[in-house]
Amino acid sequence: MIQGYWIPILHSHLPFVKHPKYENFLEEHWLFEAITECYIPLLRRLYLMESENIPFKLTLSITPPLAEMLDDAHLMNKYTNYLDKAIQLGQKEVMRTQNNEEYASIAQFYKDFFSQTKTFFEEVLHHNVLNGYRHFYDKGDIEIITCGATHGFLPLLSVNEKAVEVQIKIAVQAHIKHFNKAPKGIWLPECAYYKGLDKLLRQNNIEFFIADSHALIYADPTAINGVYAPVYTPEQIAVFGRDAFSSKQVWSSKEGYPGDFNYRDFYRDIGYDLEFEYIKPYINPDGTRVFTGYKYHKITNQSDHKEVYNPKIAALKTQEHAKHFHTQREKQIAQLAPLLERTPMIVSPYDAELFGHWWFEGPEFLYQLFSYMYEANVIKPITPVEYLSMYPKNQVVDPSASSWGDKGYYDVWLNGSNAWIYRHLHGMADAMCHYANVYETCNNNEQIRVLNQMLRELLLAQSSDWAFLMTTQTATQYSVNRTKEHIHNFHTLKAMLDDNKLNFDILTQLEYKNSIFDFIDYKIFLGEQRTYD
Amino acid sequence: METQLIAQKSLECENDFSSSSHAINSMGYESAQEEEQTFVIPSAYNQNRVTLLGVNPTTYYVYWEVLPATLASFGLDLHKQQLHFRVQSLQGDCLYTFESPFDLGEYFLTLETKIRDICVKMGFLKENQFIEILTSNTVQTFSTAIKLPDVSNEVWLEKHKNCLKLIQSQFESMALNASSTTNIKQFEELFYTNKVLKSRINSTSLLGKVL
Repeated sequence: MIQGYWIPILHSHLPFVKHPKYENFLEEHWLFEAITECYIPLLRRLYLMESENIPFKLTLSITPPLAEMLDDAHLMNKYTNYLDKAIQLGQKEVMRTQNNEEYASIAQFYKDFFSQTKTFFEEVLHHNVLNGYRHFYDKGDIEIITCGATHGFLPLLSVNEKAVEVQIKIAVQAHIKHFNKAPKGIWLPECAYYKGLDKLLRQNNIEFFIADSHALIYADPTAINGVYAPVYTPEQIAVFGRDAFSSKQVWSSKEGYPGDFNYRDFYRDIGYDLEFEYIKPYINPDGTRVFTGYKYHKITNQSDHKEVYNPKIAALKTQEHAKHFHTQREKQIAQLAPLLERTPMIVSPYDAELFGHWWFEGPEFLYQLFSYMYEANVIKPITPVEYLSMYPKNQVVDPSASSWGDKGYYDVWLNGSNAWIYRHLHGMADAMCHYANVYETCNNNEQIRVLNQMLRELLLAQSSDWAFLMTTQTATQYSVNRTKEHIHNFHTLKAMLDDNKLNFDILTQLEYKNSIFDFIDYKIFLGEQRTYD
Repeated sequence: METQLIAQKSLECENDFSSSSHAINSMGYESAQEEEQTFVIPSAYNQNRVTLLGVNPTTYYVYWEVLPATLASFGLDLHKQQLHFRVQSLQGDCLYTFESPFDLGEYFLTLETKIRDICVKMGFLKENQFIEILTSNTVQTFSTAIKLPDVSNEVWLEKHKNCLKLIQSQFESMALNASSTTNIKQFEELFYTNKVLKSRINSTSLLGKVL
């Protein structure tokens, strides 16, 4: 008998990274690794469950930049080359390790892994990962939700409300472009909410979003069912609160499953381990060592000594962890049931890329978990929309401003390392408003192209990833450069209009490189202009 | 009591999922050690502006730009005087002040307040009088308190595809069983005069009738 509901949510997002001038650009590998290790492994498990008649329900946010990249011919051609190179390396590795049984076996495992990935990409997905998502979305097995157009951190953009409105509107348009239907839900970038945002969501027919626990607990008034039932905002948008306990079990650096000693070690990779001359053709052309995906060791322990990874033992561990996760949810539900006047619901949102990239066995864990849930028949996985259809009556609260970042507020995206960006983001949004109004009736195609590209540059500068990476000091210089590049491009384009001197070489180059949202229309920024004097 | 327990459970290990474990962080592990590129970006936007942003319940960020012409119109010389900033409630209660000799700048400030809406005023002091030049946007402070609902503000909404039902907790059963006009009228009066409901629910958007 079903005693509780589980709402798993995977947030799939990468910033828009496209460098067509280069045959090989390191940051483009973020996408290729995510496709190989996360998106395709997950889709393969979904197809497997479909073939085994195992029912599952999963909510997936696929952000507009990610969808645009997965649909980009240039990037997908590069991805095919990436796979070919990985398979070629596998062939060399099988030869190199043939006299060492342990390593030969794991080398063969990876060669097969990359080969199967390529076959799946070509034969099942027809060179477009979105095809796999569409298949399950159309069947109703997964609910795909949208996000901010470029994952802008909405509370910090809200100084100009139009900037937030445009992030949401374009996100909805991109969702319709890629999935042929409007999204019912939204993953607010970084789960960041501020009071009043629900009004803009309502204007765009969004029915629900996900927030962090304290958005509901510190709401006005407090949500009396905590995060174990949704609430409605004053604008009647449903909010589902993140259950921190189930998050912790998966992602705690101390107690989380991915830290099990039998799982694959993320850092040890032959791209760093093997002789330079041997590995040179498979790392960055400038000689920078990079991950090749051939990672032969398990976590083993907390020291530097690492033993050889055994995928079969790791797969058995995922079964054990899936059962443990299920048992913990059962206990949680049993504790909650007497406190609630309804069947408890647990919402577990995670970054999708952590399942497979950081935690290589993550997709298998999900497969095992869905399989076990079906077998045990105690907890039922559902989507937020399904829950709302069963429980349409919910408390109305005004959620508190919050995010899912460290400490729960906006610190990660606004601190000494990245505060400088906001003067520009706000100034550019105001300028975009101004130019949209000035050129409202423009019918000069060249000027329209400039205005549309200005909007693309603004949106790309707004991506929360750059501020995040400046804080964590990971890929810092790339993030600073990317932010400055989009600010620079915006003002270069703006100067073309001001001086009535269009430079078509620059314009064409920017349109090709920063090609996100081919449907974009700068007039989306039309509206009241802000003044501060 | 149950609500408090649920709230506690909801907040258990709440910050354990810190953003440092975001996927982009492990992706970003791979990044070319590229050098800073020389993109020319504006140092100022040639506009008068003071902007306030909330960071967390005790930290706020202010940045500003004021044009020379504006300073001149107030007879202000920043070589001799400083800009004076007042963080205040919308009613004018001063919560924090700081000064700066720069016409373009930024400032992080620490402020604990229960006041809901705050803004910053930029100006200068003349004979101990604050003369205002610019006002910032308004920022809502963060809530960090559990506010259990009482009979006046516990509101429930039943949302179906084509109708909505709004229910105030203590009246629901009464209204459901009410057959007398008096009871229904009383319910409606209470419902519509409740300030919380009025401010938070846009009743014109309700498609269905209340019970």
